Amino acid sequence: MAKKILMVDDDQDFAQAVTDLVATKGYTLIHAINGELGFQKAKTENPNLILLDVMMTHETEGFDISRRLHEEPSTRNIPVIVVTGIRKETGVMFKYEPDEVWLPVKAVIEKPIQPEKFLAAVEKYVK
Amino acid sequence: MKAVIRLRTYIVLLLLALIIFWGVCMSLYSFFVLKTAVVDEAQKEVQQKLKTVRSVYEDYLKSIALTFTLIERDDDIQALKNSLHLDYLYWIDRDRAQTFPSEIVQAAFQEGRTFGGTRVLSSAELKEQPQDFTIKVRQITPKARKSDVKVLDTALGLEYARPFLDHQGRIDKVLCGGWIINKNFALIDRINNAVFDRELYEGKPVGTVTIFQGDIRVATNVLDDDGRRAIGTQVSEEVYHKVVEQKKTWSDRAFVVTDWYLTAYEPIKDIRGKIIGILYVGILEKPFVAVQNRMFLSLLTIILLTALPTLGVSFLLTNVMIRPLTALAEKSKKIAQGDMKTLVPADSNIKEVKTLTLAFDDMIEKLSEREQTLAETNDKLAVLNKRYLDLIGFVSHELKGILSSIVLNTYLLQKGILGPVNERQSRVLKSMARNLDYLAITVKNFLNLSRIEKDEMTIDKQDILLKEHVLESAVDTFTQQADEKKMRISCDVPQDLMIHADPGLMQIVVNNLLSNAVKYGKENGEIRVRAHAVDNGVEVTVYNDGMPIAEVDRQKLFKKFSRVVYRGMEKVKGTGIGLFITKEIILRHGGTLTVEPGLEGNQFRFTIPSA
Repeated sequence: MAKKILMVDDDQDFAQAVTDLVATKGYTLIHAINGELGFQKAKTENPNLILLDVMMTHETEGFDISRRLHEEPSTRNIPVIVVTGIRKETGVMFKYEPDEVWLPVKAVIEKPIQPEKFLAAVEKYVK
Repeated sequence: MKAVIRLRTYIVLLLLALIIFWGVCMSLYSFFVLKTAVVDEAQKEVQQKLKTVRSVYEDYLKSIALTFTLIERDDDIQALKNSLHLDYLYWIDRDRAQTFPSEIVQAAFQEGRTFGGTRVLSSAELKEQPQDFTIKVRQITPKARKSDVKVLDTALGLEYARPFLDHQGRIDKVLCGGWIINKNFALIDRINNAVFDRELYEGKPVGTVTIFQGDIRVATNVLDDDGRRAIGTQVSEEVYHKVVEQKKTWSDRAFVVTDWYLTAYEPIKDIRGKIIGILYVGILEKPFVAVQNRMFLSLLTIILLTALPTLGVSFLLTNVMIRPLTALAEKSKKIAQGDMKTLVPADSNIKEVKTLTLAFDDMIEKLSEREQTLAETNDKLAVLNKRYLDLIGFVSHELKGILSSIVLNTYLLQKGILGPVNERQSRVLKSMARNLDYLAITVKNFLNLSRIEKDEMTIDKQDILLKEHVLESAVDTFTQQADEKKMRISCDVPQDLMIHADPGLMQIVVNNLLSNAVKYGKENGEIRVRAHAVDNGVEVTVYNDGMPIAEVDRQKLFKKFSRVVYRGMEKVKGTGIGLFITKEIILRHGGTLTVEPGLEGNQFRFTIPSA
């Protein structure tokens, strides 16, 4: 059975392109348009990897989602990679790197992504 | 720098200087007045006194002469000796006369008339006297001339001789008598009393008379330090030289035994004209000096008493001037601190000060108006600038998201993931990918520019491996583009070289430098990345073959939005912010960035300190 990747991102075009990209490695991509939907889908779909955008313009910040996923017992073992356009120099309060408390994820990848490096990271962390 | 002095001090010092100058003038004036009016007059008087003393001295001879004329050949002369208080009185016969040691007696015999004068009595003659006339020479006074004589056993005598004739009219004997002057204090005091009042100053007589035998005081009322008559002491060398050796009269101040006197000296001669002694008259100088001192002291007191009210007046005067000035100075300080509200109260009665204060008020008003305008303009500019920076930040951030999709889609197409592409399509897609890389860097640079300008850039320094964490991925990124221009990138950096820096920002620095090297480098050229540890840090160089940058352009290169474009490079794209950001990032790490043009290429060199 093909491994499932959940992508939480408000950019439809980017999600479509990533779907095509990960398909080359045989992964199925499920797309959630905002954080809340993503959180629900993570619980119901039980994906092998979650790709999370931090700067989603709707309702919930990606940071919150990453922490909620970590607190929720049914999702806490799913690996998360943050894919984002912001960098730590933006002046956000958090250390913009994987962090036990603030950002309990496996890796942070910066947009615009380099396709090969991105694929390599996906393959590395997928469960 | 010139010393800064307070106005008050300045005015007070000026007035004090005036008072002191005035005081000195008055002192000098009074000194000269006193000198001419008192001292010089006294000096003249001393000369006059000397004449009087001389005549009193000679009057003694006259008194003997008068008595001698009344004497008969056979009279008893003992009564005469007693009544005149003579020290000696003899009849001298013709046969004794030849050997008698008195030139006065000799003269009386030879010339057959009376003679009187001063002469030196020998020690043999003195031995016949009941009294002891020897004087011990005392060298006790500071200015006295030196002498080898220890004891004076001769003496001066004031002598008179009258020849007597026998029946044949020949001189057969001479009557000779006189006073011995040495130690004759009665005589000297009588002379003194004849010319001076008996005035004392600090226990010493003001008017003094002395008779010297040679250079030694033999009769005087001058006292020594012990209050004894200063006989046996000597005249000063100066006076001796003038009076005895040059045979002149001395009339000046002189140091006599213990004090300065206004003096007159003249020689005492024997009847042959030989100088055998000195006659001296002097007035103690001390009382005059005391008068001068008193005068000076009272002047000083007057000056001081004048100075005090002057100080008071200058204080009042300066207060009137200084208070408004201080107020203005205080106000100026407040203005410098930005406080424009309180105006200076124009309460001075002095016209100039009031004018100044009013002008100042006026100035403050104008200044605050201008400041307000300035502040408004500033606010507008700040708002505009913030909008500009926000716009840059927002736009570049949005662009990143959009870019992500385009980059990914281009990649999918180019790699044939979405279906086969032919060679021409592939070439187009390669060009798109290259342009997208450039766009990605540009967007990042703009984002960083807005952070730098908003001062929002935070630097998170860590110890990182320069090659593994920074250089390798940058070289990877540009290898494809370099290949297209047939350039070779070499990265000769030790694997274990550590730097203490923000990894993300270092990535930007190296990407910018490499991107420039590829963009501006020569086709078929070389790009060399080198790094090594230096004192207190790490130095990294990025070299590329290409057109050397002219000296004049070296500074321009690092300015915001400024580009240096040489012939053949017109088509190279650029925004002119890459090197600005690079330099800013390095400066904020405490490092330096320089460019070193070579003969056939350029080398960029930057350092990152280790702490």
